[in-house]
Amino acid sequence: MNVLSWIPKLQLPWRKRLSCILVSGEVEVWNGETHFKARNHFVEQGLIDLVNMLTVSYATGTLYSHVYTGYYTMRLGRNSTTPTTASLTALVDEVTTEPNSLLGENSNPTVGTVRIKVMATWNAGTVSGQVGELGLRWGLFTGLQSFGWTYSTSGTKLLMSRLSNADGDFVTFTINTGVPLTIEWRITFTFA
Amino acid sequence: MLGESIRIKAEVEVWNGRTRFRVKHNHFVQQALIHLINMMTVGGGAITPPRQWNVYSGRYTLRLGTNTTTPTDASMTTLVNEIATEPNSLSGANENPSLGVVRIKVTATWLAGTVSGTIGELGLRWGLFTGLQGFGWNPNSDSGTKNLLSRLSCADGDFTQFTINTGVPLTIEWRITFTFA
Repeated sequence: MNVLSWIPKLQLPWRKRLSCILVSGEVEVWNGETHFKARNHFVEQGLIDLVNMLTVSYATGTLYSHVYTGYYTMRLGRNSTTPTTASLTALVDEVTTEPNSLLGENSNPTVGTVRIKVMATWNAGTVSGQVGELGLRWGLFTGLQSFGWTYSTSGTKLLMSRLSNADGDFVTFTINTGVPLTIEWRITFTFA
Repeated sequence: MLGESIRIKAEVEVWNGRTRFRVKHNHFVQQALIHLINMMTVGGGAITPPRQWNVYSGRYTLRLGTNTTTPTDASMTTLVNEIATEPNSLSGANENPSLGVVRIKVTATWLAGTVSGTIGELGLRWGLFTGLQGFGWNPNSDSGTKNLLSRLSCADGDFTQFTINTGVPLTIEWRITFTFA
């Protein structure tokens, strides 16, 4: 082996320290005996919104966006065959029943880790049938704005990320209507 | 698997006469992470008087520094030995060159003779909300001004210190790219 070839690799961890921010989503589902954890799939309009929000310059008036009450939610869907694509803007076969409770929290557990946690619960008997996809919907600005744009009221409940049977994230399950269905969606920002 | 993560990465390019280099990363600091989730969890409400955030004129900039020995750490909030001279021109652009790639580009130029010395660190400063906000907060306040978002330095091995050629302009382009990982 050429000695010179591995010197840069030895330097790599040092050079790359704090060099990226990684945004990842983990989803946990509880419904009686059904309990699983999986990673989500962000869609293009989630990417665009991040850039938009970092390049707002100015805000005025009475404005709502992102997680204002009624602007974000979680949704269930029936589809079990269509994988997620970057351009997806809604679940493929969405159940419109809203969760009975919905709340969120920001936390900073350690230096280098910040987290958004959203928890939704459908009470027992509120929703039924098979579930093949899950969606996190957010009040997004889905069109790319100009650098230095003026903040305004966002869209409502637009798809930011998805979890699906078709992506191999979980196995389609039938809701146990005798117990609540709870989903916790955790989006973590870390250095990589 | 598509979209399991979003990767936020930066590339920095510097031009000053014969000095020209491109570094395919930077080092983000903790207050950038915090600002990102603050912006993603804005709620809303009445915003009066008008408020200035992020890249409002005078709230963002690029800065030069002379330190060559201190590596970047996550809790850093300024360059170690910063030169206060602002660039003569500063501009930004958002781009979406292809599906799954979105980019912020900031370009700063110091005119010939405006700034001198040996450069060992570079910083991108932004109008950040540096304290963690509550989920659904009302952003009825101005952000900070020119808070450090990310840094590039000799001490991190990113580039070799260079002495500014004062006979020509010094231009820096900082590109932050958001992609699926």
